Amino acid sequence: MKENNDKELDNLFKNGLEDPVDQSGYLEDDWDALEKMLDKQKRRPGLIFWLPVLSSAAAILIFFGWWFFTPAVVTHNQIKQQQTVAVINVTKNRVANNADKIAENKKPANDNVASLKKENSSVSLHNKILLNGNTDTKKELAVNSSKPVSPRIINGLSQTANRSKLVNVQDIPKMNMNSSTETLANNSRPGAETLVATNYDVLANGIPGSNQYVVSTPVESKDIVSNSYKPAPVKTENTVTKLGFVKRPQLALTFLGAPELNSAGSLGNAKSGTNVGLLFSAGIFNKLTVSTGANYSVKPYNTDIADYHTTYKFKTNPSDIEADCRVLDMPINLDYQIYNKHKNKFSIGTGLSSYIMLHESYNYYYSDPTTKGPVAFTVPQSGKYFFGIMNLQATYQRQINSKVGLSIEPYMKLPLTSIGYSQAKLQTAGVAVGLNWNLNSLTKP
Amino acid sequence: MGEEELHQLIKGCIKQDRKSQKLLYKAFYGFSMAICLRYAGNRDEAAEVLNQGFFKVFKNIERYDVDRPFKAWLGKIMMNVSIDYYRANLKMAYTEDLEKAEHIGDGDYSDKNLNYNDLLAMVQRLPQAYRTVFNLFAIDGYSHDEIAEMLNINAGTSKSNLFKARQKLKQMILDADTKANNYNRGIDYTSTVAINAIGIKPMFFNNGIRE
Repeated sequence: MKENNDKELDNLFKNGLEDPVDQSGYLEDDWDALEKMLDKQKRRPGLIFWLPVLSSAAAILIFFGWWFFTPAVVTHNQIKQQQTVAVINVTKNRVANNADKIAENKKPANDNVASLKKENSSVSLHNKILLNGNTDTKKELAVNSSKPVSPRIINGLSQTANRSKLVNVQDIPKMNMNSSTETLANNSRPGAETLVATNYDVLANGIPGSNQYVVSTPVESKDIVSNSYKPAPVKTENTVTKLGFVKRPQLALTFLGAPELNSAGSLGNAKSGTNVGLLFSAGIFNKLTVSTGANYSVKPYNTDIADYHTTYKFKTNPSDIEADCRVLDMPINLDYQIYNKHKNKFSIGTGLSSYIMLHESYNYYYSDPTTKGPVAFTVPQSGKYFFGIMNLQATYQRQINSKVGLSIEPYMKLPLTSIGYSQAKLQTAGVAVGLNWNLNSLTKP
Repeated sequence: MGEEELHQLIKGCIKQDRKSQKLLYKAFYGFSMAICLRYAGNRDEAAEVLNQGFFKVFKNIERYDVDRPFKAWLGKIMMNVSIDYYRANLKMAYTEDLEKAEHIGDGDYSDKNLNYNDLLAMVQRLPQAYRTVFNLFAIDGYSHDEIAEMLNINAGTSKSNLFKARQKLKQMILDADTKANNYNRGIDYTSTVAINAIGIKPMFFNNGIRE
């Protein structure tokens, strides 16, 4: 009885509601709302195409942020470089004349280098390095400069001359020499490149942070003495300006370390380097993560003369050129998470990297070891290559706990522009191992 | 709408043609709204669910098997979207389950003269958990086991919710009867007065003429 009653009730509603009387309830507003939903869905794929633009905009912001913070450092270095006077004198005859003085003044702690001169021949090195053609050995130094040199420097030189510590070539680290009879003058053709054999840091003079570029030319004598002078010990400052990132709700901080392969041509001829860095990542949208930071990379690579672009005319082309670059890699990457279950995440991503060249030097090897020619060159000016490298990476991340995770990230860095003095198309492949720290955990109670 | 016309519209919708989408929307708006209305608490809610349903339809229109009735496919989507909406409000639904149902005596419902709007208003006044189960069981014909699986609840909960839904509906019908009786009595009284008044006058006049 009760069941029948319930059935009757059900049928009452079933029959009554299955046949709606008000079919004309269509409202244009409802369609408009649906149309908006459909339009929104259509626009979604477009967002992906906008992402590179958005990320570029973000990168530009970071660049300007970086630019804002770096001028002080750059100026400081430039002043130091301008203050640096390098004198190279190669002599045959006067070595003997000065030998006594050299011996006299030679002290264990060589913080200055006096010069011996070679027949007033001078070479200008990138208009910054001054070669001295001084004839007065008693005064030890006279500075001929194509650029105005401050009296302070000259005075300093004179003063220093009396207490100069002479260093013969054996005391100059890494001085490169070839047994050549060519003279400096021969090598100092107008417009010709000056090859720097030694990036002789003035640290040897007790003045850190200043770079001195010493010309090494093939000479007969080993009695090359170079002089570098710093007017006064510049107070050592840790002028590394930290990038002032505004504190934002960052999601993760990742410390990365990676062995990598670098090559200017095919990866078959690659040399191994290393890469360490720190990245900030922030989740945007649902599965997208944008990350940026800084990596310090040691990038040695081999190249041949065909890929080595220079205005310098080698008399005999080197058979092999070995480059050693130290680069600050500032990437901005966008990663898309394609898998996220349990504690495992897998994502793929791309982005652009800017390279700030911190050090760049080349060694030249000849098929015939007796070939006369430059053996090394250190590029004095570091280059900056913004968004010159495209990054491709795949990341597997395993969350250890709520705060910490481990990641493995195979990556490739493909050149969009030529990098460095030699205009190399430097490509890199590596596998980074990372330690991720979830910054959101800080805000948890 | 003829079969051929419907297939043309569906083809247009597959190509994401906005005109075809709108024509299909308008053509099946009433049918779809009827389903959404009885699962939803009010018209605004129903319209929201309806649009979510059509959004799914347009997104997955290429999956529609043309050999099967379109209305059945569309109706199933509308019902699923309504259940999704229910799931989204699951917490609220569970709290409603704590209510105790009052036992209402059985009555004869076969002769009740309740129209669509009356019945819809009653169903919509049900708490969501009861309404969903009542719709699925009483109108769409699903078993308690199927409902339990669809709503991720126990079959016992489904039975309980159905019982409570029926009790509430019975109470609403009783209330409606009472109101209708009062209303009807009011009409009778007024009409009686009117009839009496009219009746008096002719009688008076007739009496006067006759007399």
